[in-house]
Amino acid sequence: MDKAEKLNEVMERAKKTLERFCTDWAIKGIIRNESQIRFSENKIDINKNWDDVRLNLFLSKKRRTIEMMISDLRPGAIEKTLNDSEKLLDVAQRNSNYKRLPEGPFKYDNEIQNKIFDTKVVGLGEKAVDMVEEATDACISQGANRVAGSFFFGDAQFYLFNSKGLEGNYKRTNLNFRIRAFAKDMYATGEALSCSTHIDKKFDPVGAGKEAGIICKQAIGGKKGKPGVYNLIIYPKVSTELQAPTPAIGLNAYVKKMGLSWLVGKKEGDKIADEKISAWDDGTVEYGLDTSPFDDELVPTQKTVLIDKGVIKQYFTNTSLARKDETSTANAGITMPKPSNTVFSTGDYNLEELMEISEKPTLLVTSTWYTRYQSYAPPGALSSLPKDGMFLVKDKGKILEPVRELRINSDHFHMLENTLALGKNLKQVNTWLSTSGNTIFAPYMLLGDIRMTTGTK
Amino acid sequence: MEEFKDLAEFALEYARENGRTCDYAEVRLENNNSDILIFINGKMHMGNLPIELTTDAFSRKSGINIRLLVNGGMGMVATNILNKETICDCVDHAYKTAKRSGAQRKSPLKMSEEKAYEVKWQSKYKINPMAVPLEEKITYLQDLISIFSEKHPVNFIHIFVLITEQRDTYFITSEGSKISSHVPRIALIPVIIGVQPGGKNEQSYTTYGTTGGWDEFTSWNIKQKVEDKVKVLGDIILKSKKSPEGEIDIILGPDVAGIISHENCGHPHEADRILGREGAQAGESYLKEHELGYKIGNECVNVFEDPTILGSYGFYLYDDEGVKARRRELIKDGIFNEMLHNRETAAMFNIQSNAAARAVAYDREPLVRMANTYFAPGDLSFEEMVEDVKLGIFMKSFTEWNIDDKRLQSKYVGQEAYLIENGEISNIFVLKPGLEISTPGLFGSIDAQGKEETMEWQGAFCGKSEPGQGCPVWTGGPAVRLRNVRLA
Repeated sequence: MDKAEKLNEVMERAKKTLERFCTDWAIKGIIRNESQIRFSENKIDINKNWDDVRLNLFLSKKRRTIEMMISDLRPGAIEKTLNDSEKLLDVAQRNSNYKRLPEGPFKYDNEIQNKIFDTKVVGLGEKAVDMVEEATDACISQGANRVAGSFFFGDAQFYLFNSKGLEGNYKRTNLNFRIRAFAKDMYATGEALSCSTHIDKKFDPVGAGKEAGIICKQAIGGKKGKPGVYNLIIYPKVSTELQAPTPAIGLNAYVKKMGLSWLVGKKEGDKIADEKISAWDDGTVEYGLDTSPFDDELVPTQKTVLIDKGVIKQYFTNTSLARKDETSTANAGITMPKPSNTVFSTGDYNLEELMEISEKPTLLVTSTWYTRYQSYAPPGALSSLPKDGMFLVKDKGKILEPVRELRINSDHFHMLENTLALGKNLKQVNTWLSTSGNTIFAPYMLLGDIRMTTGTK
Repeated sequence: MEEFKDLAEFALEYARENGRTCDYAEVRLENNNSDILIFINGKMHMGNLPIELTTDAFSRKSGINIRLLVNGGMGMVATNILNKETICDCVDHAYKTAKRSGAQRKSPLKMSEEKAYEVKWQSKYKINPMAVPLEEKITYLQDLISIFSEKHPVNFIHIFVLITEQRDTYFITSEGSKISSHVPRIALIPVIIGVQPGGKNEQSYTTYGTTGGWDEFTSWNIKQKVEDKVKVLGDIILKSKKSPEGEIDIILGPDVAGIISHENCGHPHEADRILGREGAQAGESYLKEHELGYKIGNECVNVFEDPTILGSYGFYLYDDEGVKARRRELIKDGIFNEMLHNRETAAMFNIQSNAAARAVAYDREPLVRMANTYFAPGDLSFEEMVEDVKLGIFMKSFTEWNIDDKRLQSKYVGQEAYLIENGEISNIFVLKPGLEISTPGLFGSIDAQGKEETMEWQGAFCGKSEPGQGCPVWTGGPAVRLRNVRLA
């Protein structure tokens, strides 16, 4: 019996049990074969592989709901877990945020499957080690002394059905390569990444290696920066920390309802950003790591405009949280919405032009991490730490002077409202422990008047 | 668990059959179960959340992790498909990839020489939190939440996350280790945001965690602590004043001392960071440029690490490489005294591991991690620490914090913070005092650590690794005094 047959048998068995006591239910079975090569100091540290099958379940009985994950697939274990869950449902309180699953029927775009699955990734095998070596060499050739990184690759198959009679399946491959370069001066570093679902489509680990190496070399000899107010030019991956959390988290209908959002009090039609900023949730993007034909409720994915020229167009939602006379934006998570790919609008500039047009003291920020909020409540005050090469832009970008030890202090409203210009190209970013937590497509951005601080001792 | 022990042993045997030559082989069989109960603004929620508080709400996981060291290269496979056919495929895959990785390395990986143990261990508790009926947990949380039914001077948004979990492991190695463990845990995370309509807001995020069982957990009177926190948040919003300027003294409460011991000491003392292995993930360490014996701070500074503290959230007796746990003295008398090691990093320094290898589930690799990190107690009472501060702040708790990936530049924003004037703590709240300071600057400013009776602990989830592993830990300490620092 192959894995798909085994999973189907397990799902059918779970279905029979759920039909006995649930009023609504949904089952998502996942078969995953994924690998990761971790490397540092120019050497491979470990080659990992996950070969697993699991069930994600949604159970509802008289609007009492539970979400579960089961990877203990022994028949007895599943029966016991589901029987226990019946008892949990009996003592749970009603979930006032849950109304129903969508009725369907739905028509799915068969083309999406081709946009997210590449047989070459399934057969990548030991060639992945060669790719790591090539990217490492490229990085060193640009001036890096040491290289570290991570390369995830693999495939997953998803099988879904629910109590409304909806069903579907799809498969997706993923390639996620991240590389960090270090100079002999250990505080001079550069990081770059490349993500795609297809090996020959916008996936360029060698390019990432070169980019990381160049940033690292430029960062050598950096001095402590002066605290003050600067314009920032941010690389696309910096937006996972600074700009994407608003469309990916703040505009989640459930987060709004919880009150855990800096957008509390804001409604559709309110202006929250400069008119250059538009952003949408798009589960249909070609080669997107969060692209799929349908969401966990089996609603077909779509492009949903969230911010239109600086104005809130709508919050993304699942079926239960959709308002009267509206439908899901195809963003389930069954008990709550979850974003797919967050995509930003583009502008007219390349990186060099952004440096030319910035009129105030300007910092080029290539990466940032450890974003922390003073409070999720408005205005979402936060600080975030530039991690790799950061440069004071001089003479309109002809000179990039490396600087260190500066911390970004701002809030989401300020950064959105003070977005002065956008780059002309989008880059796909899905990175480790990001604040937005999903895949984003963002351009370079020029942000105005950001306060930078530094240590006092 | 019992029914798959034979399969784990089969995996270990198979790894050494058919001409395969492993430098080292280990098999870790695990059951990882967790139940997470959430109340959001008083309403029960049994599901995942879109913020970093939970992963899988109710999960039942069971699987095997196999690590093979072959020709100096490491391969790992994790699977929950527990049959011989899959296990053989997994071992074959791990062997092949380990060998290929080894060929790429110029310097082979090694594991430090360690004693092999045959032992069963578990945390000490009376009532397993996983066995507590859901009704009882609901009642417990509803009692906490009843605090918000009273009238308060500001509005509150509140989330209470109760995490109960159990980790059972069976660990065997090619060197003869055979270790079984059983550890249930419980943690409560109240997230409370006080909001003045149209005005200020203040957010509190606390973790209470233990391996001491439901009985220990419920003995902590957390309701009183939450009531106190709610009152203080209201006071901060309504009454706090601007921070003093210029050089002042700061007394850090155990909450703040604890997070500093973790972030500014624990992380940079992790040997995998120092060696660069976390370079693309959690980062490296400023200590990469220094040897043991380097002076980090003043002579009074002692920061230790100890997994063996009974009831602690980071408790264990043997790590996930089978090494017996002990206390680690990271900073001793102000000196860089010891790193945290697993067997891989210890071998690179040609020493023995100090048992810092931890994994959170079968599908994660064991990495160098903290357990319970703390400032060791000093000589002064709290009153003695305060009495010779002319102008300063008592920073009892913190809100926003972060630190760079070398663990050199840190920031801690105070939450409950009081002005100290002429040797007395006033009732004046200071608004969000920001301590932005380098690690040597911080440890070099400490002139006193409080007595043992002022020690307190907090639970936390330490984030590291890729894929991420939120590792349960305690952080703690007595009050700690900094001299002559300037707020950001």
